[in-house]
Amino acid sequence: MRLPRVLLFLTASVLLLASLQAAPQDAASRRLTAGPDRRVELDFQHFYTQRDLDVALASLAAAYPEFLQLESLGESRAGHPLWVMTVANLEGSPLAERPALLLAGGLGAEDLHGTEMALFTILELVQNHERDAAVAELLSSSVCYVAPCLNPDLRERVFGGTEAPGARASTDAPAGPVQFDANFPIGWQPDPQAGAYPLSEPETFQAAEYVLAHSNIAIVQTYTGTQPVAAGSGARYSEPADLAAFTAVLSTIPNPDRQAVLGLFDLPERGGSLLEFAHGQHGAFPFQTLLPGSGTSSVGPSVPEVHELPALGRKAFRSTLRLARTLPRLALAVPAAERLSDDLWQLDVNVQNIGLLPTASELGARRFACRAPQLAVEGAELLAWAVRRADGPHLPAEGTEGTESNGGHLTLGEIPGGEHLSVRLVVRATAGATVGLRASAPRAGTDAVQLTLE
Amino acid sequence: MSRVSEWLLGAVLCVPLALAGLPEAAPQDPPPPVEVPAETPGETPGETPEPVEDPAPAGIETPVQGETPAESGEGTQEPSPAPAPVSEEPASGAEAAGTSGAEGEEPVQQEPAGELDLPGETGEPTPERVPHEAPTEPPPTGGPGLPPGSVPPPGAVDPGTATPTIVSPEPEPEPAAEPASAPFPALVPGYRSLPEVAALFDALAAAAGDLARPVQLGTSSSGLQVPALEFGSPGPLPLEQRPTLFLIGGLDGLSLSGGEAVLAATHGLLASAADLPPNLTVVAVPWASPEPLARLLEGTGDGTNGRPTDNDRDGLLDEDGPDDLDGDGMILDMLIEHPEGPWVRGGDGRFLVPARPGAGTRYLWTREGKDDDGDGLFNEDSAGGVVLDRNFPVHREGPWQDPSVGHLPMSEPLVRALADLVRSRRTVLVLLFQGNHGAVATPNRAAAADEPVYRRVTEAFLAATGREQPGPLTLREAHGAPCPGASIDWFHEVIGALSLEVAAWGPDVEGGNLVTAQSAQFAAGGGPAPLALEDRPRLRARESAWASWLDNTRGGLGFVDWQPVELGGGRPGLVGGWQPFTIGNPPAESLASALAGLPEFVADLAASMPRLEIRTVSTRDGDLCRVTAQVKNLGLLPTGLSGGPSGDGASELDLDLHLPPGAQLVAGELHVEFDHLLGHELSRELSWVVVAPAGSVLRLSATSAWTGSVEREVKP
Repeated sequence: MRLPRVLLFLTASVLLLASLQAAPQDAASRRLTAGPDRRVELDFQHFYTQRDLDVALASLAAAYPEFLQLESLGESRAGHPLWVMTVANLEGSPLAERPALLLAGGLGAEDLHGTEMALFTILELVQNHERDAAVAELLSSSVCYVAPCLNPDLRERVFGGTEAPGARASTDAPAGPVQFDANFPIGWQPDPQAGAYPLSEPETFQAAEYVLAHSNIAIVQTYTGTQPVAAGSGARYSEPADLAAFTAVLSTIPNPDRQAVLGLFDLPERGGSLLEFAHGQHGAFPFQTLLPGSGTSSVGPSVPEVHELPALGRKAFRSTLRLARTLPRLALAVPAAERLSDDLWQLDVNVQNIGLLPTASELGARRFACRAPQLAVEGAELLAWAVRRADGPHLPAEGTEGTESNGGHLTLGEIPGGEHLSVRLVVRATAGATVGLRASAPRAGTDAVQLTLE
Repeated sequence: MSRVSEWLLGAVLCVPLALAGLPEAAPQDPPPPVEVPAETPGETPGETPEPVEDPAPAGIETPVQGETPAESGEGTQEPSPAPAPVSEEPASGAEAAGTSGAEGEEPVQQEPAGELDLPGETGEPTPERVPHEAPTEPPPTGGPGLPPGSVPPPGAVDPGTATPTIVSPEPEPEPAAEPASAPFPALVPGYRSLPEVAALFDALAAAAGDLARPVQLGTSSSGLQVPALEFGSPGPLPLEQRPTLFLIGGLDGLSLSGGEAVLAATHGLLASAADLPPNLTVVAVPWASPEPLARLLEGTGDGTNGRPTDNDRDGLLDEDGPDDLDGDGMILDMLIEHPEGPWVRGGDGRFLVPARPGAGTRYLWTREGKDDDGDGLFNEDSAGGVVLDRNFPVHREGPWQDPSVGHLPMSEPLVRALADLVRSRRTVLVLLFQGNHGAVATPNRAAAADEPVYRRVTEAFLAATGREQPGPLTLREAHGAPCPGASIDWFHEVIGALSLEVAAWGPDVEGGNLVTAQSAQFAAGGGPAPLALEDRPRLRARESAWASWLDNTRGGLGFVDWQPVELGGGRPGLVGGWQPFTIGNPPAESLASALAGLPEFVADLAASMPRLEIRTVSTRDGDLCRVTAQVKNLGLLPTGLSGGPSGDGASELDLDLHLPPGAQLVAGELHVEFDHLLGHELSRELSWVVVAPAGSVLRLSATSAWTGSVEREVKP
């Protein structure tokens, strides 16, 4: 006997689901309907000294308070602040519950101009928040953490004029020069340039702590000005499903930008890099954007000329936007609710990942770096459940039975990009009760539905 | 319920297994948390300890090269200014000894015998193992259990070493030793708290005057100040520039006896401050892991530092720790009956052995405690944290394998401070006093070429303590488990120091059986994990060794027999196991036995540090000068290791010739690199031909990472 249809008070996620299931829109072909929201003018006709960077970031944060939050991770060895700009629509769901991308620039000599690229990306995101639907959607549903310069001491020495060009890639570490991008733990090997121990530098230590403290970071992006000399096999780093996810993401990027975005598998296995750490310990998907200059710069072989910065900046912005649009995101729907007896109800729930990346990398899930998606029930007593993939087998799902005051919750399996899980719940509730369902995953955000059982 | 569709049938219905109430094992040997499987069989978490490898092959002798008792350089004094013909065949060291007193040669001096009185050197057999008598009164000068006369004074110095000039960048001379301004404190055997350790160090520093000073290591994660002291004999080099010996106690958070061993060794060295070897700094850190050691004194420690950790990755911190279920004031071990449990009680019902197929009552093994959060797991997220000794980056496991290694390598402030201190010094030797295997253990990847060094050190340990050990044991062999992320591996592979773990306590220290390659942990690497067949005899031997000590020495006191407890839901359990201060640390009355000989061992090593000497022979024929030189290591320890950091020249020895203005090199190299020198080894001979006017002074300098530089003037 099928009971009368319940009144479903679905959240806006259903509409969101429909809109996001459309084919990803190429940023280059989007129609921009208005002029940019220019509140701060930044000049990309020079490289920024640390002082310039401090001023630029503070100006941006002051000018776009609804989109930007500026904080410092800590200090470099020489005492410069390690800035991180949070870029998102600050109204709406809590930032920690949105999927996130971390963009890290200025780690060393290979990406010295990564700082300008990151600054350009911040500017593009906030100036286009109204006229570019893709940017607006990104800002409202996700978070970009942008650390424009993780090696401010090097920047100060090079562009502040205290170090001759070409003598970079060093720090003031007591034991000698340390390559920051060899000083992270995963794959670290004892080597003088890798530091006496992983995270021996205050900059790398604080960056690593920042990554681990943000369980919502699903993508980590860095820059390089140097074409990798040898591609890595990636065999050390990932699982087959992760390789498939990398491939899927890269396939969404059209040429010529495609050549500029490198997955972990395109990169040599150098050991101790930020990207290896991001994947190996945090389970994030790492990407690197290749932004070389056209020739030999006066600053160094990996650094473009100043006049190339705006064009490269646009390229950098596009790569970040495209990557961020692949972030995993959960959408919840309740297509059917059925009364089984007086106070017994059966709810069919779809939990879909409308992003392209899975709710967690396979490696991250295996290493417990990322908690699996959860489905919580409120307002009804959860009695039994079953979970299966669409047209697939039943899946094990750990859960806790509900009580009258605490409905109960399920731990679901990871959901690949674009797929959904079908969940059938049996709950006890009185007719007319309002039941809340909430799906959440650390790297895929949250979605909630409320319905009245009638 | 009839409306529940078929779709639901066969799916996973929620049957959460909730086991109520349970607690903590003996602090020395915390088994890992136990998951109580539901109805379906599954793998039991945990790792199978790997089988113990054979110890290093026996019979390798330490090559002691160039030991020519008559040879020695005198220093910068030029005894014979008369010109001499250039020799056709430069004399080797031995030849030089035979032609002592010849014109143009620096005089030689008798070199004293090696500082270590080892059986292999004296030709005497290995001494019989003699039980140590625990001193009941501290000796007048302090230091428990110092057998007089068996060890040469640590300051025994070859007179030849006194003359070379110590070269350092703008050395700031250490002030001469002032008379002690405070009475030298006695060292009463017993376990000390952190404030008592700090007070003792303050008293030692005050008594030592200018010879000792505190070292700032910073504070621990909870803000505790870690006492540390550095000291050395008066000399031209500041303490921070000298070759350094580190004494570190209890970094594992478990070995209070290790802390006491550091105190005893420090006390012993400072008690004979006048005999401290020259040009050496000793840094002592007795309580390197303060929080867990403090908790251990209170009976609740498990080696971790209490940093809140989400061990089970459920988003909650420290929500299910051990409990004192039976109210006896101790948190011991707990057995839970389970049809798939990997353990059964052995023939000696106190101890467990791995279950074989068809075995009787099987158990899960965990610490005493209830299922606080009702998730079916016992003690899976205690107020644990990080074991500092496992927070190092070499051979590290990820936190996903073992949360106690820390979420990041070197994540703990004290670990970073200690590592930075060791990096900042000319660190030659690191002795970590911890563990309860009763042996001296080497790094896991010690180079085979360094085996003679480790063998010699092991023999010194055995001679000083009267213990038995078949030969050098790696850390893995000593523990019977891999020990990932261990500090001595980092000290060895990154710093390049000679690094050793010295366990004050073990089953054979006081009446137990000798167990080769033992792990003194009752549950080492075990917990609920089933052991491989090849590991089972070792486990039984280990238990047997401790049982032998317990029964023969303690009359069986120290082990609480298993007592039934109610775990809720009608589930039976047993609580019992080793009491605190039994196998992890010795009972207070046995502490002196555990420490006996360790101060002498440290004094031996301090006196055996490598020291360089340059020996020269020079002749002049008009302006044509010929200089020959060799470098000798006067210490018993080498000037470097074959293993350790690669590619950075950490172990090499450099010899440089510095010419004065107006001199011209005709033949030879201004800069020569050697491999490191073994104990008492003499380098190959080098020759230079130089055109230099009469009265010119040439300088030779020899440098190694461990010894620093020595310099010698030559006036052909």
